[in-house]
Amino acid sequence: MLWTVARIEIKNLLAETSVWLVAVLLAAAVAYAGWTGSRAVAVDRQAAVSALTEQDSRLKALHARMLRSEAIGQAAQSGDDPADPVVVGRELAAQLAILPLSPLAAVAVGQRDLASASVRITTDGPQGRTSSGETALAGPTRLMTGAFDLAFVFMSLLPLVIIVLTYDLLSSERERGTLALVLAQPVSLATFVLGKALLRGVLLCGVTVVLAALATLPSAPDLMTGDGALHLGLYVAVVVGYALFWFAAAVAINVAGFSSATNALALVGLWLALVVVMPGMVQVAVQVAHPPPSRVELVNLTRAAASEIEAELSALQGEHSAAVQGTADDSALAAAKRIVVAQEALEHRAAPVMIAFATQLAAQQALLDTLRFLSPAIVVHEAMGEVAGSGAHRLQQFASQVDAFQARWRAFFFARVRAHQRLTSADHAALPRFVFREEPRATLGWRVGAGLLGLLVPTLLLVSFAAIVLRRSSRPA
Amino acid sequence: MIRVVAVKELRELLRDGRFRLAAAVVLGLLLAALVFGWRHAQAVKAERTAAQSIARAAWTGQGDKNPHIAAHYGMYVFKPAGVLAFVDPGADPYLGVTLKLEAHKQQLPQDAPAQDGTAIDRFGQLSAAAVLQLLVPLLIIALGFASWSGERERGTLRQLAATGVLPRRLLAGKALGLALTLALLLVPVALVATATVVAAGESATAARLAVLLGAYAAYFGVIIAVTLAASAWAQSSRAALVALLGFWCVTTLVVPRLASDAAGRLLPLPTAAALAQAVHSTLATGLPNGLPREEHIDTLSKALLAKHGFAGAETMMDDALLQGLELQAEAEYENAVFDHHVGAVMTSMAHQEQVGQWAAIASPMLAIRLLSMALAGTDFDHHRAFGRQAEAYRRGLVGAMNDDFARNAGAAGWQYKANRKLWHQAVPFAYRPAAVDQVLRDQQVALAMLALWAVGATLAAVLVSRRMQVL
Amino acid sequence: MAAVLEAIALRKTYGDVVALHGLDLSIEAGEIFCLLGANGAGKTTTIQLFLGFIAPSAGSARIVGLDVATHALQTKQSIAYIPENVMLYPNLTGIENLEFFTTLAGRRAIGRAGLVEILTRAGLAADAAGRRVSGYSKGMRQKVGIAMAMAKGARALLLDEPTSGLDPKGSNEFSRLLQSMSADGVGVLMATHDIFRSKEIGARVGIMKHGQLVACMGTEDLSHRDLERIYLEHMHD
Ligand SMILES: Nc1ncnc2c1ncn2[C@@H]1O[C@H](COP(=O)(O)OP(=O)(O)OP(=O)(O)O)[C@@H](O)[C@H]1O
Ligand SMILES: [Mg+2]
Repeated sequence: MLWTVARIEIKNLLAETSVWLVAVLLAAAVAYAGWTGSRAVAVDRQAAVSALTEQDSRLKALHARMLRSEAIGQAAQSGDDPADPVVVGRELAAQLAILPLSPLAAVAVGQRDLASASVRITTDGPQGRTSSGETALAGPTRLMTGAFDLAFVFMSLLPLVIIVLTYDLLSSERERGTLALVLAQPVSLATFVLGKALLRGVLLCGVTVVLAALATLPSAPDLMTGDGALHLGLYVAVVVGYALFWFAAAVAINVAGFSSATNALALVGLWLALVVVMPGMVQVAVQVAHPPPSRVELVNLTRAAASEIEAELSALQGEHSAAVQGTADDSALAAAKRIVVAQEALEHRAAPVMIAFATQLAAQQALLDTLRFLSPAIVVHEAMGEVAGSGAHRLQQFASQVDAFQARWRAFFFARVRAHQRLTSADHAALPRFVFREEPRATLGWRVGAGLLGLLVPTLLLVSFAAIVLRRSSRPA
Repeated sequence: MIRVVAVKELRELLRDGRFRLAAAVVLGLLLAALVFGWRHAQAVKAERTAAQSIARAAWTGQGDKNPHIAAHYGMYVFKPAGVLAFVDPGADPYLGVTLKLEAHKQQLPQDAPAQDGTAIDRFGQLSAAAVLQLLVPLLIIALGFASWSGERERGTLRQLAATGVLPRRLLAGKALGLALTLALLLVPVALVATATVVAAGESATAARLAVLLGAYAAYFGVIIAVTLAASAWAQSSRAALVALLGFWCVTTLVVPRLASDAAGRLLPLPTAAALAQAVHSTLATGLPNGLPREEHIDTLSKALLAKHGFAGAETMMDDALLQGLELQAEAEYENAVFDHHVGAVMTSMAHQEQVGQWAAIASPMLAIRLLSMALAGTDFDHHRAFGRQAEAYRRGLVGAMNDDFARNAGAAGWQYKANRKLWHQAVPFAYRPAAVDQVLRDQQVALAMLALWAVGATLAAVLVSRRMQVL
Repeated sequence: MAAVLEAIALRKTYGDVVALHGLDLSIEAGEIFCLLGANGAGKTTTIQLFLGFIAPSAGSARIVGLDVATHALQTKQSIAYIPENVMLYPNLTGIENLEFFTTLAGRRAIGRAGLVEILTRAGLAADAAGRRVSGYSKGMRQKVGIAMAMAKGARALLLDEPTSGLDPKGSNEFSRLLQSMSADGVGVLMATHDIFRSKEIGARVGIMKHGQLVACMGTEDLSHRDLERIYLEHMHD
C-alpha cells in the first residue's frame, strides 16, 4: 500500500517542472559554494605555508649567525645581536602561531574571517600578540553579508527548497479533489500521508547526502587526514537532521489542514522566525547577559598604564642599546633586566581587562551553547563552524594556547635575562615552537552530538504531532 | 474609482485575521529594534565622547617634551557611531573604531565590535533596517499575492471586468490599498522616530532621516508593484506565492552574497601581512617608478627649504631648523608611500562597494541596503571619510610638531622641550560626516538602480494587468 | 435481500445548523435509490456520512452491515464513490490514475489490459486513456470515475450529482452503465437534481428537505410528470 502511494508520488514529482528547477538550483548553489570554499581555503593554506617557510628560513639564518659569532667570539651590533635575549625575544625570533585549517574548512568560513587565526608572538606585553594577518583583508560589506559558503546554503537555502517541495504535500490533494477519491478507498489518511512523506523524505535525504558529500570533493585529499572522516560524518548527519526537521515541519503543517497558501506562508514565517528573528533575539540576549568590556575604554586604560611604563621603557631601551655597544658588560644586562620588569608590569596592568574579555566571551559562548537549542538554524550554524574548524570553541582554544605559549616564550627569555646570560646556539636550537593541540575528538563529538539531538527532538515532536492529528482524522475536507 | 477599489482592498485586508497577526509581529519587532537600537546608539555615543575627552586629556597633559617625541606619543581618536545607527547599524560592527595618530605611521582603525562577539552575530542584527528590508517585503507579499489571482479564483474578477473598469484603474486602486495598509502600520513609527531625532536636536540628521524614509517608501513601492505583477501573471494564487517567495529569497539572500563574493573575486585585497610588508619595504627603498628613498627625501627637503626661503643658505642655519625640516620631509615621503599602498587598498574596497551598487540591478534589496547604510552614516564611504579626515589631521599634527621643532629648538636641538601651550594649540579632531547631497552623489548608482526597479516593476504590473486573463 | 447501505437514525449537526435529522434509509443490493432535494437539503451530507468523511452526531451509517464509524477501512472495500467532479492527478494518464486507485482498493490482479478493457467499457477510448488527464473534459473524467467503481467491484455505489454538466448522450451512457452495474447486484445511492433521470433508472426516489426525508416512493407506477409535481409540492410550503 505504501509502495503504491510512493510510486504514484514519484510519477507526480517527476512530472513537475518546478521540482526539477528547484533541485537544479540547489545543486548549483551547493556546487558554487563548495568550489569557492575550497578555493578560499587553498589561498589561506598557501599563505600560511609561505609565512611558515619564511619564518623557518629567518630562524635558520639567525641560528647560523649565532654559530658564526660564537666561532669568532665577537658580539654583533646591538639591536641585531643573536645573543641578546631581549632583542631576540622581542624581534629577531618572533614566532608565528597559525591555527591549522581543518580538513573540512571549506564548509564554513565561520569566524575565521574575523578572529585572527595567525598571531605574531614576541615577549612584549599584550601587544606581543598582534595579528599577523595571514588571511586576505575583507571589505566590511563582505563581512556583514557573510560568505556564500556551504553552511549558508544548507542553513538558509535548503529549508526554503524543502518548503517549496513540500508545502502542499497534502493540501494540494485536498484542493485538487483527489484526496476524496483516495479516501473512498480502503486507505487511511495516515497511510496515505506516510506513503507520500516517506518517499519524499527518502528522496530528500538521499539528495542532501549526495549533495553535501559531493560538495566536499574539492577538499577530498584532506579528508583522509586526521579527523577528516569524523568531521565528514558529523557534517552530513547535521545536514540530514536539519533537512528532516524542515520536512517534518512541512508535514505537520499539512496535516493541520490549512490551504496551500496558508501552509506556504506559515512555513516561510517559521523559517523567518528560526533563521532570522530567533538568532537576532539570542544575539541580544547573549550581549545583554554578558556584555564584553569596552575596547574603547581599554585603549585609554592601557595607554594610561603604558604611558608611565613606556616612558621608562623607552628610556631604558636607549640605555640598553648604548650599553650593549661592544661588550656584554654588567650595565647592559642590568638595563635589560629592568626592561623585563617594565614589560611584566605592563602585562600585569593590562591583565585584568584581558581576562575580563576572555571570561565574558567564554560566558557568551556558554550561554549560546544553551540558547542554540531555541532554533535548529543556530544549532546547524554552530555545528557547521565546529566541523569546519572555524567555530568559536576552536578559535578560543587557539587564543588560550597562544596566551600560554607567549607565557612560555617570555619565561624562556626572561629567565636568561634575569640570570645575566647571553643566548647560545644551543638556546637557539631549543627555542619554544608553537604547535596547536586539537581538543580531544570526543569533546567535539559530544558538542555536535548534542546539537544533533537538538535537531532530532523538535523533529520527533513535529512527527508525533502529525501522527496524533492523523490518527484522529480521516476527513478529506 | 481608484479610491473605491483602494477602500475595498483596505477594508478586506484590515478584516483579515492573518494580516492583523503578521502586522502585529512586524510592528512589535520594528519597535523593539528601534528602542533597542536607540539605547545602544546613545550608550555608544556617551562612551566614545568620554573616551575622546580622556584621549584629549592624555595629549594635552603629556608634560614637557620634544615636539617630535610628542608626535611619536601621538593621540587616539574614536570614530563616532553613524548618525542614524539606531535605524541601521550597517557595516559599523565590522569597522574599526579606535585609531592611533602618530608620527611615521598610518594606522587603520582597530577594534571592530564584531571581534568581541560569538558566531551568533553573523546571523545579522535584528535592527530596524533588517525588519524594513527583510520582513516588511514578506508582509507585502503575504498581503498581496492573491490580490489578482484570488479574485480570479473566487470568480469576482469576472464581475469586476464586467463592470467595465479599466484594468489600469483597478491596479492603481489595489496598489493604493496595499500602500495605505502599510502606511497605517509604518507611518506612526516613522513619525515617532523623526520626532525623537528632532527632539535630540539634530536637524542635519533629521534631513538624512527624511531622505531615508523616502527611499524606504520607494522600496516598498517596488515590492508592491512586483507583488501585483506576479499576482496578475500567475496561473493561481499558489503559483504567485511561490514565485514571489522565490523572488524574495533570491533578492535578499542569494544576490547580496553572490555580489559580495564576486566583488571579492574581481577586486582581490592583499593580506594584512602583505600590505604591512609592502609598506615596510617601500618605506625602506622608495616608491616603485619613483626616486630612491634618500633622493626622494632630499628633493622634498629642498622644496621645503625653498618654501621657507632658505635655498642655498643651509650652512648658515642652525642645526635644529634643518633637522625639523628634514623630519618633515621624511614625513611627507612616508605620506606618499601610505597614499600609494594604503590608498590602493582603500580604493579597492571602495570599488568593491561600487560592485554592490551595480549588483542592485538584480536585487532592489541591495539598492535599499546600500542607500540605508549610507544615509545612516554606517557604510564604508563614511568609514573611509573618517579615515581620510583623521589622516589629514595626523599629517597636520605631525607637521605642526616638526615645524615647532624647526622654529624653536635652536641650539637646544633634541634637548628642546615644548610645553602644554603647543599641545593645546592642536585643535581637537572632530569628524564631520558628509552632507546629504554628497551621500546621494556617492550612492547615485544605487539610487539609479532603485529608480530602475520602480519604473520596471510598475511597467510590468501595468502591462501584465492589461493582458491578464479574466478566467 | 440484505441491505448494502443502511442509515439508522443518522443525524448530523454543525453547531446550530441541523444538516440531517435522524435519517432512516435502507438500500438493497441491485437497487438504485435516487435522492432529490433542494440545494442545502442534506444530500451531500448523507453521502459523506456513508463515506466516513464526516462523523455522525448521532445514529449510524452502515455498509454491508458494518458501521462506518467503527470499521472505516473495511467498509471502504465495499464502496465506490463518484463525486460531482471526479478529480484526478493531472500529470498522469487515465490508465495510470485508474491503476493507482484500484491498487489502493486492493485490486492489483486486474492488470493493465484489464484496466484498458474496463475503461473502454466505461466509454473512454483506448487512445484517450493513454493521454494525460490534464487534457480531459469533465465527461472523460467522470468516465474514469465509473471505471474506478467497476474495477473495484464495489457492492455499493455512492454518487453525488455525477451527471451534472454532462451532455445528454454522456448522461445517457452513464445511466446505462449504472443500470448494468446494479444488474450485477450493486446497490446505488445517487444524489441528483435530475428528476427525469431519477425516474428512468431509480427503483426508488427519495425527496429531502431541510435534512429530512419527506417522501420516499417507488418509481414503477409514476410518470415523470407525477414525480415533478410531487417534488414541487414538497418544495412549496
Ligand atoms: N462544514 C459545514 N459547516 C456548516 N454547515 C454545513 C457544512 N457542510 C454543510 N453544511 C450545511 O448542511 C446543510 C446540508 O448541506 P449539503 O451539502 O448536504 O446539501 P446538499 O443537499 O448536498 O446541497 P446541494 O444540492 O447544493 O449540493 C446545508 O444547510 C449546509 O449549509
Ligand atoms: Mg451537494
